[in-house]
Amino acid sequence: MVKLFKSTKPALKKLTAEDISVEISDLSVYFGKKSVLRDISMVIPKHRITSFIGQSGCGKTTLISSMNRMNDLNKNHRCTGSITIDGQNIHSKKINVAKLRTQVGMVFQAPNPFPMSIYDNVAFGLRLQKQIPRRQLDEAVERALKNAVLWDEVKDQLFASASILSGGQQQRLMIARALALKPKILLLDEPTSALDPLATLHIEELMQTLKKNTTIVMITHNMQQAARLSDYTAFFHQGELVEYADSDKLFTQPKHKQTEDYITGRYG
Amino acid sequence: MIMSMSWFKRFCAVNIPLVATALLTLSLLSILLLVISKGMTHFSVKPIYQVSHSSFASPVLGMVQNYGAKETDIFWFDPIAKELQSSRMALSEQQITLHQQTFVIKTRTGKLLFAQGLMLDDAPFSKEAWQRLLDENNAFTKQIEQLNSKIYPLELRFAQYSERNIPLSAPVFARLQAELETLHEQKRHLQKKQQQNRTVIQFSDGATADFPVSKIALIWQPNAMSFGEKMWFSMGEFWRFITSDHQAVSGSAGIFPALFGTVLMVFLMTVFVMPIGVLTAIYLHEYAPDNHFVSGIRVIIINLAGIPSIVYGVFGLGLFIMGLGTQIDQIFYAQNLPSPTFGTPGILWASITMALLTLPTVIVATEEGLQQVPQTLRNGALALGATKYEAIRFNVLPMASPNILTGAILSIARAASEVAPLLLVGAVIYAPTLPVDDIFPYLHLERQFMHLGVLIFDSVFHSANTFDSQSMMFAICLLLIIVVLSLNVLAAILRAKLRRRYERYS
Ligand SMILES: Nc1ncnc2c1ncn2[C@@H]1O[C@H](COP(=O)(O)OP(=O)(O)OP(=O)(O)O)[C@@H](O)[C@H]1O
Ligand SMILES: [Mg+2]
Repeated sequence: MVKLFKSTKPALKKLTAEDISVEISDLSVYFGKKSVLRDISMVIPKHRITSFIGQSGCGKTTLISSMNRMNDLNKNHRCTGSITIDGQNIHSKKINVAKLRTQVGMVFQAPNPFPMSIYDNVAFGLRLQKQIPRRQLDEAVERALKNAVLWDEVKDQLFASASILSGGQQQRLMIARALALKPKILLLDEPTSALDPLATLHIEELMQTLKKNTTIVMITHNMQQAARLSDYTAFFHQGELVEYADSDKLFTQPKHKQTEDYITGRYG
Repeated sequence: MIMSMSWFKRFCAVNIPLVATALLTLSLLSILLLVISKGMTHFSVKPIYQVSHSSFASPVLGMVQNYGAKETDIFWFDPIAKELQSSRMALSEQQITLHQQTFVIKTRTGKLLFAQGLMLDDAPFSKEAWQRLLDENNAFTKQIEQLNSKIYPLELRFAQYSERNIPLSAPVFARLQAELETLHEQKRHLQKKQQQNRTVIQFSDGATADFPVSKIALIWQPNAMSFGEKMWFSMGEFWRFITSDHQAVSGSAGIFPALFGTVLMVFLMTVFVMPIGVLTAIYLHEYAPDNHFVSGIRVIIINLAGIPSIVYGVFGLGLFIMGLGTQIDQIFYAQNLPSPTFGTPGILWASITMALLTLPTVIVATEEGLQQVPQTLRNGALALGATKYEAIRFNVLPMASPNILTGAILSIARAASEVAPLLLVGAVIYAPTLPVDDIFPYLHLERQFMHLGVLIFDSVFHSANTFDSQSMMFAICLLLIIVVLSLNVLAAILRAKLRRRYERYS
């Protein structure tokens, strides 16, 4: 599948401003005294899938949380550098953080369904935005659930509590919840870690479809997935960006020894 | 010996919690049982004995308590004074007899009369005849009330005319006066006819007396009742007890105003304390910075719960009534001064004082609930573009609601059972009016109110000499327990429902 798009994929260095969705420059993040990310500079290409890989605890989640400013919720959090999304610095005073988060959707590493029905979970974000007629809301919820490959399993119990779903179903519900808002950028933290191969395949297909008009950043510990699905891959090690390149290149001819060790499974 | 010691030690080690629990349950049960059994006797049908004794000129009718003890208490009806008296004397078996034909008559003012015989319109008493007389009497009362509802507006207009100095000779005025006169004439006629329905009561000394039907509330023959009739009568008594008015002159009247006052005060207290308590807890837990000042405030709040309740009463009296109430009077009710409107104890100040007293409970319980809501849930809402307020409103508060209800239950239980502070800020032994009536604005928050706890307090210290004051005290206790318990059960059911809904998420 990747092959299909390969011909149209420019090298990272040659991206024009138009093709850049997120630009991170010199970003350093600290939690209290602890430095978690150091001098990260990278661009996330628009309407592509970018994978973040790296050892557990190397700061992947922290980095994607910086993009929708979820890190701000931590009182010890401090950061330097800048993140620019569609030409706007997201740390600027003019930014409405709640609005930013509707445009930069995020699916957390662990599913966190709200204590309400499946329907209400998916409709939550939409209802916060504006008054939507019931019919339209129904349609939006259905579409989001279908996209997240959950519709067939829950269509008969939309108004049952979300807690009755299995772990994998909950993970897809979280994806549906984020999709309902039709974000410009979608941040997925290990979206298929709890899914069986078939559901994983469905989600991967969904990401391929979504990327026509959505920028996707995905964290994964599955090298094959990163290789076959993503256009670009970034490898992090202990809070630093070690290597960032076209997925094909990174997985076939890694430039750094650390990268090679990691993807060949010599540690991590 | 050593064997038994080690056995005892082992028993204690294993069973002390069990024994403690059992003792606690036992003492709780015995309190409940005492209150229930003593309280129920208030509604039971007590037999009326004929008692002969040298201190009575002729045999008297009376209720007997502690018969068989060295001294027997009797509550006897004095046919000359037409009143119940209580005496304590030694009685032997020969001095007490039980006659089937004995009547107890309860007047509309709550007084009791014990009679040997009863004639209704020159015929001996029968239930059917009595029912007929009662129906007739009620019909008269109704007609008179209808007339009254015509007379009062006319009289009001009459008064308005005289105020404006319209000469008496004016034709409108004359017509009005004539109209009023005919209405009054009709009323007098009806009243006279109502008075004609009479009963003749024969007392134990043989003397008889005329008694109008309109003054009688209830007649029963305790000695001739079957078990079923007694049960039915007791239920009726209980119903009258909780629904009818309190008469300061008689101990055996209903306590509806006190029941109403208690429930209304608790309700108002809840209305005041819940929003303030929950909002304070939300502020402290979600918004306040994490510094020494805030933790200091938290410590103070927790310790506020330990202040003796009477101190709150004094505080309410000083701040609300003498301070705030007096100010309100000067600004809004200046025309009524020097008689105060809000500058005097009343149900508003009582419920606010109680709200203050129970505020720490609500805050602590709510904060506990907020603490239990996982951070990931808040993050989930925020990541979907919710503001902090929206995340709290739609996610955090619903999940904390079982704890918030626990706070409500605890505060209701506390507020319903406190008496001391209420005596200072608005509860009275007798209030002529309810705080709610059909006069605008319907809810009169400045009025004083009656309270079950205060009535108990009062019956212990003041009216210990009437024959049923003790059983009445227990009956009120029983009612207080029922009120608190049913409020608690209501809240507990609600809480269990909410718990079931949210337990899978935390
Ligand atoms: N709220 C926090 N407070 C303090 N330290 C934190 C916090 N969140 C993360 N960290 C630290 O930051 C580092 C990076 O964490 P992060 O969650 O970004 O790792 P990760 O790459 O996502 O790991 P994983 O693959 O296991 O999810 C870790 O060392 C972690 O201990
Ligand atoms: Mg992570």
